[in-house]
Formats: sequence, C-alpha cells, structure tokens
Amino acid sequence: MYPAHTWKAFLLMAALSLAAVTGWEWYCRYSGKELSYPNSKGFWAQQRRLLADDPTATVIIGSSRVQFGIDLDTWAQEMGRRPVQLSMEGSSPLPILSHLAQDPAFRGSLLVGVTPNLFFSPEQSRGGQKAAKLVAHYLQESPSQRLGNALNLALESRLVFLDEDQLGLDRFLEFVELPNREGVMTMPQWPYHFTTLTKHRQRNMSQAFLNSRQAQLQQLAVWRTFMGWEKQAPVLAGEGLARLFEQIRQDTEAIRSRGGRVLFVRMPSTGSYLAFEDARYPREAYWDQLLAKTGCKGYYFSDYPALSGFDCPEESHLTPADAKRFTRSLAEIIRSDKLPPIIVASKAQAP
Amino acid sequence: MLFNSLSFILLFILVLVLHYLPRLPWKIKKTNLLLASYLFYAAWNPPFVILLWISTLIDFFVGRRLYYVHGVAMRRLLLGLSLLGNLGLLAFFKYGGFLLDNFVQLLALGGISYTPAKPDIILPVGISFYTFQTLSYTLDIYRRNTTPEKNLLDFALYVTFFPQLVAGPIVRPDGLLPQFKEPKRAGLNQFFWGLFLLTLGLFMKIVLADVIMAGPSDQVFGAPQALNSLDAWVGVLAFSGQIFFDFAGYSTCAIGVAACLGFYLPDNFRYPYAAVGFSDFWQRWHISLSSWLRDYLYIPLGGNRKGPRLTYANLLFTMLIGGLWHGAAWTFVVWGGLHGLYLMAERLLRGAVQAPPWLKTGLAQFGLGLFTFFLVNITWVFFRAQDFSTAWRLLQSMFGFAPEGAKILYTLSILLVLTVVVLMVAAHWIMRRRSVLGVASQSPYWATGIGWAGMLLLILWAQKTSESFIYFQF
Repeated sequence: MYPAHTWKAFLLMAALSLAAVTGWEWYCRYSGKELSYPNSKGFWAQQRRLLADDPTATVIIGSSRVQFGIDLDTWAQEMGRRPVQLSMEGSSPLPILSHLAQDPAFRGSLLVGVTPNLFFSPEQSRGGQKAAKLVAHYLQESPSQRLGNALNLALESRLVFLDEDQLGLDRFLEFVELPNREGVMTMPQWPYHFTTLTKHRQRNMSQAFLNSRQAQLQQLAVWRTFMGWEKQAPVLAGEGLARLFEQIRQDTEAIRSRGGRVLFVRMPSTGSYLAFEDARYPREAYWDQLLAKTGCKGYYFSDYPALSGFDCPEESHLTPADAKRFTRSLAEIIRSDKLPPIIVASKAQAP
Repeated sequence: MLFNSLSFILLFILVLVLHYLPRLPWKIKKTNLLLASYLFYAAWNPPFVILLWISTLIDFFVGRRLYYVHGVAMRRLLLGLSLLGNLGLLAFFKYGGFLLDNFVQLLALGGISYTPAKPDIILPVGISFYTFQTLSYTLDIYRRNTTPEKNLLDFALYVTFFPQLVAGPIVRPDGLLPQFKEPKRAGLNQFFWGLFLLTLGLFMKIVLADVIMAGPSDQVFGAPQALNSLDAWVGVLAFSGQIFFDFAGYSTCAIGVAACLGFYLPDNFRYPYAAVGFSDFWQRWHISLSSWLRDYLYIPLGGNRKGPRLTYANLLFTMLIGGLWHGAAWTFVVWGGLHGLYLMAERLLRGAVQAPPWLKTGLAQFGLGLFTFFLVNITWVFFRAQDFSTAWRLLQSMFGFAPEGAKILYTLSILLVLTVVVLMVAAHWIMRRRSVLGVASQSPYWATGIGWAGMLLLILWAQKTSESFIYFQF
C-alpha cells in the first residue's frame, strides 16, 4: 500500500539534509557571520515578562537608537542592575509607554529614547502600529507560542544559519535585483548583516558592517531614501501634537504616581540625518515642549560634551565601542543629577 | 498548536514515544492520544478545552439515547438538544458579533439608533470543524446510519483527535471510530510515508503559501487604492495559490501525522485547480466539507429529487450556508452564493445543451479547466477581501476599469507568483487522475529522497515558524 522504499528515501533524505545543514552552518561561521537572537515578538514578550518578577526594574523603550546606543552591560556596571531592553527598531515607544502606565505593578525607572520622526508621530503611524503589535502579542500570547518561542531562542542562539533576519529565504529574495516597472515604489536595499541581537536584546553593529565603509554608505543611502519620503508628509503639529503630549503626560504621570520615574533621552545622530531632524522637529517646539508638558527629566546629547562628538558610521547609530562610552557618560550624568530616589512601594501598597 | 511550530514537533515526538512504547495497553495509549489532543488544543487558549468537553458529552449521551428511543417526538427533541448545544456554541462564538452588527443595521434602517456594547468574543480555533464532525455523529444516529459509540474514551478521541481537530479533514464516525477499536501502529513504510507527507504539507504551507504567495496577496488586498490590472490579477492569483497551499498543506500534514501513528485519514483535496466545472471542483476542494454539506444539508433538503426549481434552490441554499460556514461576514455569503450560481448554471447547461464530441478532447477539457480556474479566482476576491468596497475596487482593477491604477508589486514578486501558479495548475492537471502515493510508488527511492531533502532544506531556509493557517479562523 505504501511505497516499499520509503525508509530508504528517508535515510537518503536524512543524510543529504544533515550534510547540507552542517555545510551551511560551517560556511556561515567560516564567512564571519555572527550568532544573533531572533528579533521576534515572542522574544520581546519574554523580556517584558521579566518585569512581572521585578516591577522596579529599569526599562528602556524607544527605537533602534537606544537599542544600539545604551550598552546594557556597561549600564549594569555603572548602575548595579541590568535594564530590561524593550525597544524595537523602527517603532514609536508610545504604545509601550501607555502599556506600562496601565500596568499597576510597574513602578521602576523608564528610559525613553526619543528619535524625533518616530516619537513625534501619530498613534496610527507605522512605528506606532509596530509597537502596538508587540504589546498585543504580549497580552494575547498563547502557551504554545511561549513554548515555541523558548525553543526557537534555544536553537537560534546556537546556530548561525537560523538567523531569519539576515539569512532567511525572504532576505535572500531581497537580493535578487530585477528592475521594477516605472511607478512602483521600490524599497532601498539594506546592507547584508547590518546588526546582531544578543540574549538581552542588545543590538550591535556586526563586525562585517563596521569593517565595510561600503555597507555603511549603503545604510546611509537607505536612511536618505526614508528621509526623502518623510519630507513629502506633513509633520505632526497643532492639535495632533497637543493630543500626543497630553497622552504622554497622562502616561508618565501614572508611572510617577506609583513611585516610578521617567527619563527621556535624545540619542546622538550626525550629518545629514541630524540636519533633517533639526529642520523638521525643532528642539524648542518638540523636545523642550515634551519636557515642559510632562515635567520629566530629559537628556539631550548635544547639551553634554560627554554625550556628543560621536561619529555614527551611518549618521544614526552608535558603534558598540561608542555605546559603551556613551552609556558610561550618561550613567555618570544621571548619578550626578542626584534625582530623588524612587519610592519603592510594596506590592500591597501599589494601586 | 501549529504544525509549523517547534512546540508541535516536541509534542509529536513525545506522542510517538508513548505510542510506540512496548507492552503498554491500547487503552493507555488511547488515553495518551486524548490527553495530547487536549494539550494540543489548550496550547491556544486553555479554557476553550471546555467547549470540546461540552460537545463530547452532549453528543455521547444524546447519541446513545437517540438510538434506542422510538417515539418521533422524543427523537426530534434529542436531536434538537444536540443541534442546540453544538450550533448554539458555534452561533455564540462565531456569529454573535455578526448577528449583533446586522441587528443594529436593521434598526438603523428603521430609523432607530442603537449602540450596543462591543462584544469581546474570541473565536475558539477550529470550532466549525469539530462542530460539524460531532454533528455528523448525531445526525447519522438519528438516521440510523450508524450505531452509538459505547466507549466514552473512543468517542472523546473521535471528537478531539489532534491531527485533524482544528482544520479537518472532517471525518465521519464510520471513518474514524472503528480505527480506535484495535491497537494501531504504523509499519516502517507507513511511518516514513507519514513523515514524508508532513514534510510535503509544511513545504506547501511555509515555503509556497507564506514566503511566496502571502506577501503579494496581502499587498494587493490591503491596497487602499485602485490598482493596475496586472497587479490586481497577480494578487488574486497569489491568493488562489496561498489558500490552496495553506489549507491543502494543513490537510496533508494531518494525514501524515495520523499515518505516523498508524491511522488513516481521507484525502481532503484532489488537485482542485484541474477541475472542469464546479461539480468537479467541489469533488476536489475541501472534500470533507462539500460531502458533509451534500449528505447533511443538500440531500435532506430534497436534493435533486423534487423538481428542477427546488434543486436549484437547494443548491444555492447549500452553498450560501457553505459560505457562511467559512466566516461571519456577507463577503463569505457572496462567495458561497457565486459558487451556488456557478453550480446552477452548470446544471442548467448540462441539461439544455448536448455537449459536442470535440468538447471531450484533452485540449478542450484543459480550456474548460482554465475557465473554471478563472471563475474560481473571481470568487476568491470576495473570500479574501475585507469588505465589499475592496472587492469591488479589485474587480474593477482586474477588468481594466481603473486605467490609472497604482503599480505596487515588484517584478520579482510578479515572476515568482506567476511561475508558481503556472506550475501549480500544470501539476494539478498532470496529477488530475493520480495521487502522490501512486507517483511515489513508481519513483526510484533516490528521487523521492532528493525531493524530500529539497523540501526540508527549503523549509529550514524559509524559517517561518509562526504564521497561522488561514483555515484556523473558520
């Protein structure tokens, strides 16, 4: 009834697959590709769950700049505790800020990265939706997804070829260059192996990227394409901006009322990227207003010599070495500010 | 739990180990399978296992009583109880919001403004599948086509058997319950054949449906503006491929997983895009649902026994219900209605026109097959579109009524979709009267082995492990 040779076909399949996978993994390592954790919603949710056991933890939210630019190990050395990294590249932190504000248990320190074009954007923006999906996944994650994510992490942290973001079939197809029809909006090509992600969700530029000026220029070209598209859309202002500030004020107030602390940080950017941001989001109308409306403390990189003067290879993110320096300096500045200690309420006292 | 997840692989390995442990009584092994099935289902949302228990208990006890009672009124009462229990749960969880929305709109037509609280109902995965499966048991007993199951464990396993629990095939009692009576273990070749089918199903789902077809389909159906004709057609063709590879992929996995355990599940797809006409299509697409609707709805309504008018009405009604089974939205009803109209037109033509001999040649049949595929694609527009305005906009784009429509798809996407669709239709046509089993039996082992390795490596390369199957939502 069943093909008589199926077991032989299975043995051949197993041998071929094992050989191919072993060769593939060896080739990836030989060619300098680095191990990287998957940048998945499940991984984000796993880190978010850490707050259940430690509601007074320091948490970082924002987009990729704080994920590259705050070195978690350095922060742990300076401040005594490793922060929980909940940032996500290309996203607005505001849905996550609201989510933490609504969690009555959370009363820790929140470091919020401000990348102007992502931060000062309406709720339904692409970046806002991306962060909202993370929160929704965390709230609705099924037991099966949790288990699957744990198994995925266990495998992907050991095998280089399983890096879906860099080595998956989808990514490979991006490199097949065929001319598109006139009028088709074409996404710019990202350089190969730009970043890696560690088990604490620390994002780093890969060594291959740091060694290749061509890759850095390619990434800069990607940012410039995005900037060009953004220039065609109006910036958030007027009533929309006022509503955004009011929402942030309510959220930060909720966290502070429980004894928590919210700090904003404007990470460094350079060159044409910085010029673009300064022109579209003038400091006095956005950053200064943010601090004035919320009453929170903020750190703008150019206000502090120790936080400025960095050379971002693609004008937007710090290298791993600079991230360490930046983090150490930021920690020193925060310490020197002698902010009032967080009032750690017991669970019973928490509202 | 998804077949394309590592958590399923872990559960499956555990189930296989327990299933093949020597000297373990069959009753214990069946209990293991039942517990694994509950775990499989609970992994989505643990409280919903209660729905399985309710369905199991109602039909087990109603079924027993129904068979031995002779009074017509009592039999109808018991049948009504089962229908109320099963369809009541389905109506509440799947159609509650839809009914409420339509009620509100009806009131609005009468000038009454009513804003109810938004019902926050989560749809239990696969509820339509297991509801129809348990209903077939009660209806068969009511019609005395089968005898009631005496063993609650076997019956619970029939309702819950994890390979086909959430997306079919919908198995009749006679097709599955007898298999639980004797110890089952797969022979060496059946076991590896099961693994082959599992790989084939995952390849269809992960590589073809998720990596190649899903992106262009989502882009086109999600576009807020009118599209260029080419883009619109490619998007719809991509969806026709996606839905086939997704759903047939699941069924293939289910059959493969069951085979590894020594069980047999019937085919649910027989190369539907090689269908010539719509009665042929429905004997090839989601066979377990179409035969269910035929046996438990169309024929009891009178089928084709009560004159042409009622036959057409029965056909249309059956397909409308089939549409509604897929989802609580009017777009699904229109999808079913179109299929009903196609079936009516086909029946009308067959009765009115004598087919000329040349129409039976291979080339003409192929042409008719392509025409059927074309009409099926029109129905997919309503099936996939979020609302009627999207469907209408897309149809206009497809048929050239939007000359300034936007171009959104990359050349690579277009080439990939068209290549896979052409290969898919060609493969369906070649395999029209064959089966994978038959082809594999005639192929040298090395060819099967190389093809198998190729599929597995592409699955690993694709690395998509978390995309849900489309039919889970039904």
